[in-house]
Amino acid sequence: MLGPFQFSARTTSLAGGLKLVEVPRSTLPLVHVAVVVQAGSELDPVEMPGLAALTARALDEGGAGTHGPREMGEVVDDLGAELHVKCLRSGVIFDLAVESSRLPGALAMLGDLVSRPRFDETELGAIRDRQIDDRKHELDDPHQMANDAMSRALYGPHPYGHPTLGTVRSIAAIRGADLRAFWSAHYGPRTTTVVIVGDAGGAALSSLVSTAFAGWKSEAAPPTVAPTTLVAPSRIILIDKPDAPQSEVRVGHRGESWSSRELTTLSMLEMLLGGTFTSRLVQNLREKHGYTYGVTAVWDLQRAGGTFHVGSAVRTDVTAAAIGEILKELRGSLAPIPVAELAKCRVMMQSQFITDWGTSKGTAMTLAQLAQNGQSVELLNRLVATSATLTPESLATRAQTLIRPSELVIVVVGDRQKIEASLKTLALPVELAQPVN
Amino acid sequence: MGLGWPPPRLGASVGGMRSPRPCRPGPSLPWAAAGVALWTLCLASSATATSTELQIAYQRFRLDNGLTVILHEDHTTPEVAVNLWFHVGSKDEAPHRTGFAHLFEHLMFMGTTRVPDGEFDRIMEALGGQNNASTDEDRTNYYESGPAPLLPTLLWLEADRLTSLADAMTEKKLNLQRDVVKNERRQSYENRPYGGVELALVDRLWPTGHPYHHPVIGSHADLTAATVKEVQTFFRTYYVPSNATLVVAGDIDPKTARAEVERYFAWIPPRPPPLHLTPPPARLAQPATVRLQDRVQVAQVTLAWHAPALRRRGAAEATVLAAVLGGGRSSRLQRRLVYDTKLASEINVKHDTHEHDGILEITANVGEGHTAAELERAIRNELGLLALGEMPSEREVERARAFVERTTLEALDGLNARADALNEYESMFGDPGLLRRDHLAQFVRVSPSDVRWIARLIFAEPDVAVIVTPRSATRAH
Repeated sequence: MLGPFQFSARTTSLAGGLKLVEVPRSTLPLVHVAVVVQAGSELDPVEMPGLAALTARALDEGGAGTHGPREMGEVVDDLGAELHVKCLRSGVIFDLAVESSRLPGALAMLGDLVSRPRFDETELGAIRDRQIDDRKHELDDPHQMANDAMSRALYGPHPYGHPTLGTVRSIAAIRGADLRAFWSAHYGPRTTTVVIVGDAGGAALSSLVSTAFAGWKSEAAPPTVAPTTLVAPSRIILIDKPDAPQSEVRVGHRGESWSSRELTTLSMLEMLLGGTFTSRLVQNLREKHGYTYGVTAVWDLQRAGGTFHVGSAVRTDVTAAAIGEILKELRGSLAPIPVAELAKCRVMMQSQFITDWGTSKGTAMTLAQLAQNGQSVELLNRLVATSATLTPESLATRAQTLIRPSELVIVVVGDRQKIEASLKTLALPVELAQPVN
Repeated sequence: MGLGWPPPRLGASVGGMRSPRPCRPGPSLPWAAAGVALWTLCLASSATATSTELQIAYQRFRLDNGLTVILHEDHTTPEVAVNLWFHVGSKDEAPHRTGFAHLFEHLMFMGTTRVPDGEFDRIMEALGGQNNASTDEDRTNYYESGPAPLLPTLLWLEADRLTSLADAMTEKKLNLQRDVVKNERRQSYENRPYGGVELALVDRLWPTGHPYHHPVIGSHADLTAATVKEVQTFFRTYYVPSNATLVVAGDIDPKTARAEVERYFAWIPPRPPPLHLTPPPARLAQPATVRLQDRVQVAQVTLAWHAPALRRRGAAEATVLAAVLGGGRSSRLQRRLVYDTKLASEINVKHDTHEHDGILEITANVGEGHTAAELERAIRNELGLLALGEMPSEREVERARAFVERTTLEALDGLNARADALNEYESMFGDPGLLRRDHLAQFVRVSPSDVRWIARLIFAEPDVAVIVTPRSATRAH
């Protein structure tokens, strides 16, 4: 049904190993720019969670080039832009959108921000406070609480096990010298990609980007991260949230990394289980039983590991029943599925890629995520092409290596008083835990 | 008669894939499918920094039954989008039936005689189609997208449920979607930090009986009370061609697309357009304060005023005002309260517009070591300075205009976003050309004295304040 369709971007290598990835598009006089640096929270020292995130925030809020913090705010505002800074495990994304004529100014600003930060000491206290504040908001949110608990259960003291923002206590202990050291060690042309999508108005992007980052010298090299050796026993972890009308549920185990040979398989399984409206979990938990408004099944890929989990917010009184249905669907996905259903998964994956590619922001974010993890846009084409070679039988065989029911860890954030007894009927040890703070 | 069965198979559409005519040949982006190349046929914006017209071309026609149709070509990807607006929202709900319009939106997916429960999504997804819908105070919209050859199928499916949904409605379907919507309410409001703020705001900003007084999601009690008969009546009243506008956008040939729309929709008999009452303007007689406690660690202050409605006099000025106050780090409230005094850790300002009213809303999280009362006082102080003190500077208003221009462009990113914008201008104003002519231009005109004028108008009126403070963690037994 969908013909051959190629995703493509132009990649240029600039001085020092800096990469430029471009997709020209002129539907609107708008450009999205994303500067991606492989300086994510996977590189936090074990005793200093939150360092990568705070460093990124300090770049954003601590002044750069010849501008102090207030002036940098004005530079960004003069561009009509809003800079978003997102620290993830495998990298940091600095992104914004500007009207096309403002692109040169935006690139110059980003060059300053990333390669000439000032780490203004007078701002540091406030920068820390704002990160602590953000972490407090995460602590209020049962959705985040469940994610944090799953990460901790599967990774323990490994950097993948701690919250990217850090803990309230760990953030407070970070000093200016720590930020500078982290920046020196991990920010440099070899670890940075600039993604530009949209109407650049004919500007010579290589030249603009080279100028913006001119003279950037750094030892920073693409990261290597050791995998964890933690054994994560199968169990239910229950975190009390009194009076919660819903339980946040996660069912999962350790997953795949970006170097996995099963990326196509897991993409198909994502589609099958929760990736579309007719997916098995959505039809079961939402449309058939009315347990929830939404449910997802995701392989969160990382550089040296990853997490597989099913996630949903379910009505409190059906928590155990919903988990039972999730387990049933996971086991069901290990048997050969109907040919038509596999075909649907293929065509929907491609369709979603295309829709995402249809917005400049979607294209920029996709390319940014790929760059962060040492991938290129070719991965999308490979996934589409390889999915055509899977059969129900080969999918089922491969699925058995990816979904392992005996290893499942279940996290529940919900009203303990109402649900603890029913959870015990699921025949797994129930462990009461405190939230990750 | 009319639609026929089965829905069109691929390849059976009227006309085939069109060949591309690049408007601006550029570096090759080998999107080989159907010869789609890197172009944006006649959509290239030749806009410079000073031009404010958006190059968004369209064709428009109306069927005899009252359905208005807009066609918009865009060959960026080999996709097509179908976007259907019904001019009905929560403002049209009967007393004690809050949440009905949104519940109804859910029911639109529950099947017809020709396309029984679940088949709508199965047909669509088997062919790479995606669909969704949304409801707000004023309108309900349904949108689908998929590979370009899917257009006839998408149109057929929309026409089918438009004409026959009510006949296949059952108590079982209603019960199921009731549960889903209640879960949505729990997830979006009840189990979400600060989720009660929005509910408190609408409750106080508008008096009981006003169409905007209740939230779109409705209450549990009212959702429980809805009956199948009421669903059917609602459908036959509001889901009629004369109350609908349809946009078809994307990799289309307008002639072919028009023929397909006529084929699937022209046979639908006309029905009288429903009555749309214009609610009286709402004004607060006095300020109101709502105090909530929540399981949060950080207190939050929200202040809201009535403001100009969608595209009414003062609306563009109010949007720029919101940016002067909170758009960017050097905006009034952010600079003073977040970065200088640290009374707030975060501030958001927005101008929300409905068809018949608008809101100017300021939400601020209290900074470490400060109180909600301090922060509230400081915000009001800044508003007073803006309204009654020195004229805002040309530079800060220029920044605010740049901010608004950029957010406006961002909101048009993507096929469905543009289809939706065309639909809004058609549905609310009967003129999709306004999108091209004035959607950006409206902000360019706003001057510092305009900003001060609208600030005085808005902030002279009483407001609603919602203060959220942390609740202690002990459980009441």
